[in-house]
Amino acid sequence: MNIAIILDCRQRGFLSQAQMQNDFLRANPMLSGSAEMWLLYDADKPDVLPQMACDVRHIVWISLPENGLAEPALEALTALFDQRPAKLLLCASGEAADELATRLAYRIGGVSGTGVVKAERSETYWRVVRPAYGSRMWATRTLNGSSLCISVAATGGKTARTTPVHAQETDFSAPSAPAGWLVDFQQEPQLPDNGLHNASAVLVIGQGAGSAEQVRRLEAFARQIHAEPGCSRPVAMNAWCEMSRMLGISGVVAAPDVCIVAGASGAAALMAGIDRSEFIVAINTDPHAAIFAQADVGIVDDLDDVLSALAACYSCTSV
Amino acid sequence: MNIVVCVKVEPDLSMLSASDWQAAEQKGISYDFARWQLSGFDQSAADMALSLTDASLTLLTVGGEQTTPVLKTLLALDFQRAVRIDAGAEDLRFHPEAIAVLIAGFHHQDEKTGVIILGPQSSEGQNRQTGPLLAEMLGWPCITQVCDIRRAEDPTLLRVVRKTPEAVQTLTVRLPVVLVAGQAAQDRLLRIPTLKQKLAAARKPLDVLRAESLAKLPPVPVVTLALRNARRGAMIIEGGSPADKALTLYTGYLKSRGN
Repeated sequence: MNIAIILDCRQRGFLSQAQMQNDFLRANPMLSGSAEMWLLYDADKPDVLPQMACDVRHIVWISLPENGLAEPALEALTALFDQRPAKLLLCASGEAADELATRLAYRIGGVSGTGVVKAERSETYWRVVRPAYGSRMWATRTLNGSSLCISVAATGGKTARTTPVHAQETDFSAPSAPAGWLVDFQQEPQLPDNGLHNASAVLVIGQGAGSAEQVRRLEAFARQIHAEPGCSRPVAMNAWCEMSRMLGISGVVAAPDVCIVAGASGAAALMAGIDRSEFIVAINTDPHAAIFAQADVGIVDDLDDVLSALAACYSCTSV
Repeated sequence: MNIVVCVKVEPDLSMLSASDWQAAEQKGISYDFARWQLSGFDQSAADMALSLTDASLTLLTVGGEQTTPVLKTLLALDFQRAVRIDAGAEDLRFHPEAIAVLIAGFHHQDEKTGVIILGPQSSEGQNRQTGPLLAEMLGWPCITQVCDIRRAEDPTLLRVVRKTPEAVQTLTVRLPVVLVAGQAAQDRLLRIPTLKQKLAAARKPLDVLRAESLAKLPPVPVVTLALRNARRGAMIIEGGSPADKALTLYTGYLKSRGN
């Protein structure tokens, strides 16, 4: 099967994006075949490239404006597809990748899906699996079409290993029709993210914290136990914690080695952001909270008492 | 400036118990008892539109009669009109192509719309495709990850702010355009109407259009559902004080993990 792995190297986290594509490829070994990487870049090509979980035989470089808008990328990728058709076009994860996969499929007459965890090909149709109903269910959808263009599910912020380039490389000159609808464009760089998505340990603070002051206190405990503080959606919506620290279906997806969930009930929307954690600890006063069924170890007790004692354990070890 | 805000009115999924979800695999999901509400993903889209004064705002949804109370509440804000597209028995929850076809069909009725704003996804289908598909069908530009819109000095233009992981971008665009609210705008909640606004809304029109009067729907895909099993079954650390339990957690589990 011809696979085109589409990766936007203009994004700061493109190695994490590549890892999510690798996670998809490893979960779908039936889709093995010869692969190409179609790499989008702006001023300079990146110094390193990700090691992919398939045999990459060709790399196509596509130079684009740095504005990150989908239109120029779509025009280039559509023209490239005409020259180098592929059965599976694998975009990365996230809002930009969802848009790219959907619109590219429309333009090449293919079918598409977003946040896909599994894909199977029969003779006449594709079957794709992705989350639904607040990530409580898996929905399997059958799509009639030849080429499938998907964005993959977010699987956390680990970065792909890098490797020297051995594959054949080509530069593709993208058609560059000016966008008449875009009258003016300004941008200010965002600061690098808070590191929550690729932290090795995370403390998730739930609504059980009770107040903004208590969240501040728990964030301090998080630092003492060498964990990055995150929060559930109610905590973020109460403005007890900044929005960028929200984990879950509409926030950060993380896969830390250790994830401590304190004072959160274990709603599916939150679990979608942390259920790939290696080891989950639940702390909650309610012994019937759903989080206990989804954790490896649980403590039924007051979160402040437990976390302050846990912080003390780390302090003793440090000394 | 004519703006259509496309929203989803959906059941509050948090009201369903674990057993409801387990039964869903065999019997389908039943939420007769659930409260219907504006999708949390659409609140910022609706509020962004309301922030533009002197715009003609139409609220559009695809759904059944159960959406009416929510639409009436939303009408009490500054939307001039609400339209419900009734697709009858068709289940379009996993069919963003059909939703996009219907929205495009609604636009083609009078071709007066300059801006169509949508939320990024629904809680049920989680398709995340309707806005981009709509833009492709209409041949309009699409701007995703939008967190704010403002009027430009030139009334034929719109200023759009989008937040990507790399940058905050401000685009001045010529209409028409499809805008998709971004995840970063989620902290923007929809304003609440006053009693006076609610009383005035009784006179505003809530139109119902049959889906077949707008467009021929593409074939509805086959979708099967399976429960996402995230069970680990925690081993509960019993007995003693919170400090004892914390010590057990640390020595028995966390220390060996290098944390």
